[in-house]
Amino acid sequence: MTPGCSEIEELAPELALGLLAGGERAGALGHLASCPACRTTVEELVRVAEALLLLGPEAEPPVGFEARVLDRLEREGRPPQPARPRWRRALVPAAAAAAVAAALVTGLVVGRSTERDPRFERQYIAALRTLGGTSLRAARLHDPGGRDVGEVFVYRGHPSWVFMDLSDPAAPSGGYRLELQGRDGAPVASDGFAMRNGSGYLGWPARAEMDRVGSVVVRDAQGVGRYNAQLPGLS
Amino acid sequence: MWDAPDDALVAGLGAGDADAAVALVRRFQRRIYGLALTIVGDPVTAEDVAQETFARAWRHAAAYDARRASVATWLLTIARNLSIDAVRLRRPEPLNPEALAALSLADRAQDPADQAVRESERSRVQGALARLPAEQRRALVLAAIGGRTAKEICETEGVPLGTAKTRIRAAMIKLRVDLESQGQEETDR
Repeated sequence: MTPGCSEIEELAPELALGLLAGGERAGALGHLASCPACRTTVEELVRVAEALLLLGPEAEPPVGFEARVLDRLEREGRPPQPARPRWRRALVPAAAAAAVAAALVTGLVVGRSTERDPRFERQYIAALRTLGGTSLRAARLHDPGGRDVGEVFVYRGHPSWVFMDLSDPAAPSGGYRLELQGRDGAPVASDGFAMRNGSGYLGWPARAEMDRVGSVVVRDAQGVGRYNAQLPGLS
Repeated sequence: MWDAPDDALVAGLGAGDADAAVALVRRFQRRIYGLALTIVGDPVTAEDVAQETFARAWRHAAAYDARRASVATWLLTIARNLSIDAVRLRRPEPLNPEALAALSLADRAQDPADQAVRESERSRVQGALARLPAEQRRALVLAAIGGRTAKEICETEGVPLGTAKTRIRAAMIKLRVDLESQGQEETDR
């Protein structure tokens, strides 16, 4: 449930300090999206939080730090140029909206007809065409006991992306990895995300052949598979 | 390059300029690493966080908006968020809250490369912080620089959760008003 203004007033300091996690953070951001007054309040507190960071203590990094950072930047290659971040920002909300619609007609490919509700199909296909993509699949994430813990969307386009939302109050906080697997179960690609207070999410422009992906596994910091989702086949 | 303004270095970084990357890392590494070390309390994790901070700056330099935040606050915010994520998983032992709370008012080593503007901004914030009641200042420093949640602060301080939240909120609101009034006075001069 989206919190009201009085709850946001209470949450605002921790939200501004970057300390709010999971569902509370998502709820607060949802409220801010539709409440200019609360948004202004939080923005003012964010400026205070940022100013306080200037008081952080300095410390000499370990010997060789600078060389290691520069090596790493060199390995990463040239940073993305301006057009790409703009595109990526625009894509994620649009694609997320499309994904919600697509959840009802998962596993479609543009250009193929089915006998399902043609209205949804038209919306879904229009969304994909707007994005320039060719397929969008959605699946529920489950724990080993079959409990529903979230959802994952896999989009094939330029670039392709993955969006995942996971909620499990029993999950320890920390670093996790989402792994895309081929239909044979072999890893295709993976990316990390953080779980905090039982919640985590990932928006990831993945460089992988999405049509090869058959399932998704979420692994904890020890590499143990904790959740999985079977994606529908492409019809 | 070494004398270039901070935002020019970020622009260079966004264009893939290796010299700009070297200059930016040299200029900010002590502050980024220092903040990370303060929050995570472990040199190895702090280096991981500091490296990742510069890697993210490299990847997202093109999205940096100088109207939104100074380069220092942009980088420090990235470092703080990464540190908070890391600390949930890896902090070997809780930082000493006494030492952390004292940081805000401690004398700082003077970096000859510091710009006058930066020092002025720092001293304004430091002055405003010093004017807060001690218990509010302490809660705010633990949260803002130490990355502690209100729940963690209530446990280490031995106060109810509501009290910890109230202290943080009251301190942030007072600080905002104080900094705004200082900014207004400077404008009026």
